[in-house]
Amino acid sequence: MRGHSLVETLLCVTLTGLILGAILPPVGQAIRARRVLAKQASDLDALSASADRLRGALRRAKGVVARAGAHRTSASVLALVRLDGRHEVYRVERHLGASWLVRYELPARPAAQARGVRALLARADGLALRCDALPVQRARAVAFDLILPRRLEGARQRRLSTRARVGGPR
Amino acid sequence: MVRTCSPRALSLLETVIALAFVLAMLPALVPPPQVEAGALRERLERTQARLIVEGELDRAALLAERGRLSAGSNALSTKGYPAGEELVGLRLSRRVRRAEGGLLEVEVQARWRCQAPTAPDQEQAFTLTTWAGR
Repeated sequence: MRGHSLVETLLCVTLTGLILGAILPPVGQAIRARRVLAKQASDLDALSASADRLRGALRRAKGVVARAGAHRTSASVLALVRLDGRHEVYRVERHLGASWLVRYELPARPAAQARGVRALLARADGLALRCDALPVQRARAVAFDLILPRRLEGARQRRLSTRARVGGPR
Repeated sequence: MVRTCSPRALSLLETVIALAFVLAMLPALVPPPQVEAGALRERLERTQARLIVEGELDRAALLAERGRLSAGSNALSTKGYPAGEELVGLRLSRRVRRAEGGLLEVEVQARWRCQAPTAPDQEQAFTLTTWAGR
């Protein structure tokens, strides 16, 4: 076995460098794209489940209320009173640098400044509500949009829209 | 005549070429992210369509309770659903038929043209049926 000449070694090092330089950037890009896609898929699943949860909460509710503790029903906050008299509030809030769809649970007669027990439901950039009647206590149906988190700079805002009746058959 | 191959050590150049082949083949083993992006787009569209159709079924149930739902087929407006703007060529239709026990069978269908690269411009449909009445 003979040793390698300097030219051979240089040629091999250059070739290896060129190969790695050509392969690594697209591989890195593909890995990043895959990571973003996985997050988007997870966001979609979580928000789709949250939309179903919100529809279920509306159908099981006694009605929409103007306020529950420190929360007021508005175009982005939904306060419900359940059949057992307890209250539920759905809104989007910042938590650890990200916005989340959250649910607050409050007792039957919450104090004016009570915020309730918070549960994080899913990452969401927004919640938009439209009641079919005003004042909101008269609403028989609520339409809402849940805005999916924007994972890429400059990406289009995507949303899930649906509507649900308030309460079961009366 | 039988030829025998005597084992010999690989040269450095051969090793580099072999390594280059292996590295070049690796990305080919995993499908490109566009395939996953297409599948995700399809899922998003189907989820959006499902939620819109469920919303319309709820509307139909309310109309039926008020006695304002009659048998027949009609096209529905998509205006109340901002997500519908993403479904290209979205058409909503409702078909109501009389069912047993004084109930109404309500079928809501959404049709749109898929924008995913995996099924470009293919017409998609999502249909749900329920029973409504007083």
